[in-house]
Amino acid sequence: MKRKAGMVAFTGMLGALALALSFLEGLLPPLPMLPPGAKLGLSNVAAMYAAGSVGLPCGLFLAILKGGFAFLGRGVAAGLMSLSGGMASTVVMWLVLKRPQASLLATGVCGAMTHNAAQLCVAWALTSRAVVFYVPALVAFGALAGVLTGLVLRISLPPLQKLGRRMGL
Amino acid sequence: MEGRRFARPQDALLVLGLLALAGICFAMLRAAPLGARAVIEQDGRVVLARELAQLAGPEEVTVTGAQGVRLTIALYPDGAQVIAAGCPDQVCVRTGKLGRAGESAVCLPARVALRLEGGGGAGEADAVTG
Repeated sequence: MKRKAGMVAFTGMLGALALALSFLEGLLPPLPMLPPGAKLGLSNVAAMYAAGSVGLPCGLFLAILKGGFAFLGRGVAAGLMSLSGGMASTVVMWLVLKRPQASLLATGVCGAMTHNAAQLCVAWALTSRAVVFYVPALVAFGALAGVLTGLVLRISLPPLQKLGRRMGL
Repeated sequence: MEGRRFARPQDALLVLGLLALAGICFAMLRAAPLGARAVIEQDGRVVLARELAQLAGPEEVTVTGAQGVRLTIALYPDGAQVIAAGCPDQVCVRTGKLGRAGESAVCLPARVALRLEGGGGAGEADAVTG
């Protein structure tokens, strides 16, 4: 029972972390060398940790929470984009992390590519095939953002593990 | 998750492979012919198509998309550009001027896409002279 309560509390904290990270990322000025619309996807750090350490339901909860906030704050299109990218990438990162030898970098890259692919499909459905023009930029920056996600998680893993243990996980 | 490695040597192949793939796609887009026709789509339906060669000078078009988002699109003899958008993220404006066939600027909140097509589509005339 104590473990379950700790898991719920920890999931909530990871959710807050994901929202805070994506809010902070929104405060950054648009970087001139990034293609329009490209984001670093820092909240994927929280999603990756959730999927790998707590479990798939925790990771999916994060994606739904983030999608809900995007829906309320930025409209239907943004909500659908966030939800599709978050859910798809969480499932893929969970699958990749099932392999014990998978590295954090490879998991981050797979997650970022899935995120972008799912969002591209939603954008295609919402508008038209004109979105195909963004594919090269999405592939290039998805790979780089995935490397960054893995790196940030590598650095922040020890304190996250400590926090998780305190909550009885 | 503890004790998991940050990277393995074969991860370099994954990242470099993806970057190479993106590079090839970029090169293919760069090699595309100049855009001949500007097409504006809303909800996936074409609402305006204009032959750029027929423009005497810059022309502005205003489109009101989903959720009342207004886009101002400028058409030039050598390209097209979204110059103003009534949405917060401004992705389509920051895309800049489109010049080659296949390039596009997409406004997701308004569900409007501006794209350029090459000359001589299937079954269409290359140019129509008055």
